[in-house]
Amino acid sequence: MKFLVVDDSPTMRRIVINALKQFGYDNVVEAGDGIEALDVLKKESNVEFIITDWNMPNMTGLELTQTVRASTEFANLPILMVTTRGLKQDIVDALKARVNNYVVKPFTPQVLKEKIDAILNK
Amino acid sequence: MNQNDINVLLRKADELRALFVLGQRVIPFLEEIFLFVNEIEPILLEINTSIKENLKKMPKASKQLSKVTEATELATTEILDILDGLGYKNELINSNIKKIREILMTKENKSIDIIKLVIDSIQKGESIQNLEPQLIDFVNVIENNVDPKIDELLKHTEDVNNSIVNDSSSIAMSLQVQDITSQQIAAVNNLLETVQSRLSVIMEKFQESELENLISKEHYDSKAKVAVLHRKIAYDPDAVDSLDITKNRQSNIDSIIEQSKEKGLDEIEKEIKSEINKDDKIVENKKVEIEQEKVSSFETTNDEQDIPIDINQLGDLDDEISQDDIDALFGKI
Repeated sequence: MKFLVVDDSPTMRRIVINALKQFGYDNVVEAGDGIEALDVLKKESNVEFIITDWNMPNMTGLELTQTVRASTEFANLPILMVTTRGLKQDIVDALKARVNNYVVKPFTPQVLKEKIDAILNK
Repeated sequence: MNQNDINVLLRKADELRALFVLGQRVIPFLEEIFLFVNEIEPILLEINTSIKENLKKMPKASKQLSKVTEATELATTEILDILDGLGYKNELINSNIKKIREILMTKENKSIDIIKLVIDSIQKGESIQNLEPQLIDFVNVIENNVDPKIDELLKHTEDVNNSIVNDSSSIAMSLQVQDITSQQIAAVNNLLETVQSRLSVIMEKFQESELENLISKEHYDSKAKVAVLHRKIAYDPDAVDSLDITKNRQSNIDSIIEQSKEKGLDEIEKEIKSEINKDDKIVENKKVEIEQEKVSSFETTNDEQDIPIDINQLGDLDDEISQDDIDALFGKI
């Protein structure tokens, strides 16, 4: 399974990618913001799962989710939001944009795995 | 009217003339002062507003930086503690390997001894039957002491190894603080940029006016800018709160997601708005209460009284107030 990890912090991307490798997912591509993520989606074939941060320059994770959902090609890709934002309104906004699940930072790899599994097992 | 009176009158008239002459000379100077005050007034007002606004933001920036330091220290301590533990676990694994090696060596030596006994017996033409008690004893020692001990040590080493995997997860979690603190620093940097741009506007106005000479060139460099961060960082100014309330945060979010499935998003949003209104009312009532207390304490006596909450800490009453500030204020009652 090919993952796309989107975060403007290289440290966070590395942490998420390391966790994914621990879970046995070695096929990972990455992007530093929403715009770059859309480019990666177009260039890389077979991205099957997006893990995205919310606060990013140029295009936020929420805007990325809305753009992906509005597209014909990628509309059904599973999207997991991983962010520091934890207000109730944030969760509602993310759900309205149709993210599949939501993880708040800082997170443990176990929580990340639970959410990925929950999305994939649906 | 005698000659003396006329002299006094002439002197007074002379003084009056001198006064008019002085007045004529002073008027342009007074006009200049008037123009100067007129020109400086809006700038002074702007400086005043700017200082007020910037001072209001400073405590938050200072709090953000303080939390960054605190969070960094905490994360570093956590990582160092884990590293200490890893050092100890490394010693445990080495010690287990050493023990297993010793046991295997003993097992090997015993096996060689037994094989030698068998060979010796064969060479002497003796019956191997005679070695039966020694062979049974050897097998018993291996089965009951050596192998279980090795299993036990291997199991322990496996547990230690698994705990190292957990440790690496804990380090990864502590390192996430970097993302949160970088957002805080970006927020503070943004504030510095705002202060810088406001001050620049004021300084430019000074330069455009006749007050240019008042600016010390040594201390003002219009090209001086707040340093740009090494990369563009989008920030959540409240990200620092995630360091305070990590416990239950994820489970609260999970529960909102679950509730949204049952009730629907619109219903959840209504509940959130009503909660916010309720919180706003509580804060508003508290502010009114404080104001009333302040007024009543002022009415009873002109002396300064101890007010349970310092209203000045609330800043502009029309601004939003953070939960941290509310807690800090309420904690003082």
